[in-house]
Amino acid sequence: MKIINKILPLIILSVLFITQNATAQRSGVEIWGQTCGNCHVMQPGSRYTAKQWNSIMLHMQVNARLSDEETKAVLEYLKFGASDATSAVPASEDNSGKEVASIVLKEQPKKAQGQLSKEEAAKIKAFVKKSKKDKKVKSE
Amino acid sequence: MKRLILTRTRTFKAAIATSAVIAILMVAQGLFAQGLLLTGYADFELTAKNFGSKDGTNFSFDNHHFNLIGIGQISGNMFAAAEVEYEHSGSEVALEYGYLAYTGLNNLNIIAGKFIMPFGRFNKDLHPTWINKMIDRPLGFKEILPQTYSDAGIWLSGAIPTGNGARITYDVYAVNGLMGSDSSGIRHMRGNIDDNGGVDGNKALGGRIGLELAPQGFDIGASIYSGNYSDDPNNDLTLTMYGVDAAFRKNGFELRAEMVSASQDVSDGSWTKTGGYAQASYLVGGKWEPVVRYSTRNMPGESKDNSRISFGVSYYISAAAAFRINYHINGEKSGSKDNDVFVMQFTTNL
Repeated sequence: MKIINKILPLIILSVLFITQNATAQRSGVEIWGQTCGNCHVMQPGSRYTAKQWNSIMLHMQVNARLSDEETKAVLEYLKFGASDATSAVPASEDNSGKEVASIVLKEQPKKAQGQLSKEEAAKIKAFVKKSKKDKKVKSE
Repeated sequence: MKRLILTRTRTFKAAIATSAVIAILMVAQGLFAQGLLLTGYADFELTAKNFGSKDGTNFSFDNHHFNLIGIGQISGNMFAAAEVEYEHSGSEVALEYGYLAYTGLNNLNIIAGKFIMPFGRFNKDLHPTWINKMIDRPLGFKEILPQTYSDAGIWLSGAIPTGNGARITYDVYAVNGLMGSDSSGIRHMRGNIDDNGGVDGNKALGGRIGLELAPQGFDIGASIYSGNYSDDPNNDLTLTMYGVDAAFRKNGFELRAEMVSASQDVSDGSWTKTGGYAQASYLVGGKWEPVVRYSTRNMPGESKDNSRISFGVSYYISAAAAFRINYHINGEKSGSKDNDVFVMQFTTNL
């Protein structure tokens, strides 16, 4: 065990070196569906206010081993549907409608359809629509 | 007399905890406005033990958990989180975890304090009742991996994206570790708050490495924990636990399996204890979720149940609350006995 104690700093330095050069590739809604849903029933944005989601996602960043970038992407998605959200919340560049549709309509159809209220489902649809529009404008 | 003292102690602890909760709620109003969040989970159970036995069935009610979680951002990428357990109607009060975390580095989180050990999936991620699809733990995840096992130390955690939604996840930690005598079970070695003044000169080390193929719904991991557990500085006894876990989920179907093996030095040799479970569930229409689980454990010298088949169904009232019914068929090591268990539970994320 004492040998392991001696190599602990080496392990820490290796972890630091490897991790600082990798970047996230998934959108917020993908992470919501795939990583959050890996442990528990996906919680709709409307469960909490935007400020409360900030605190929850800090905790979940550690629990789900999310990077800062991934956490921000999930937060943006959840805040769009937050209980105090306004329609002015912008979608980020990487939150494309394609991924939303993939998760909500294909990968998790039963969870999404059965456990979200009509209002929540409508918000997701609106998010898809807005994201597609944003993407189109950007490409133009 | 002893019973009276015990009852008074429990009442006193419950009163302290209740007062603390009320105090937090009173002073926290301003903090809530700044983003402090009070959440948690609670459940209520009806258990019928020895179900169908000739000797009679034992019914009991239990407010098994009322666990409060506080999360607060301190500044930027630093936050604190804590969970206070208020279990069995307040008869057990404890701090499940309480830590400071820094998340400002890319793909690396640094956590210091008391945290739930990232060993396998059930201990850290799946044990809360609003998440656990079965009422109760699988066999092997109580006496071998002493779930819920939390300990004080330092924990580095993160994930490295490898492309196409895949990630390699890692956890490395150094903690005080489990401590006790070789005659006590692993479960009774928890609560080593100050490492007995550093009596063994060693910390327990461990970690988990995992591979997540998120778009495919697949993940797999391997865990290790190793440390000297003896409370006698002249007796160098090591406890090493190994674990593997795997999960697959797609379109409401979920399959999980997890195994743990503990190799424990004792004064006159060593013991190997093993346990594990496999669980399948399917979410029907987003509301109903039947589940079946097989779990087993093998412990030297123990005559307790060594296998269990559990059937259950959950009804999701919302994304945060569920009503569950379970039936556990227990298998004995020797002979047979009617000790099946029927349980109903209402559980909610607060």
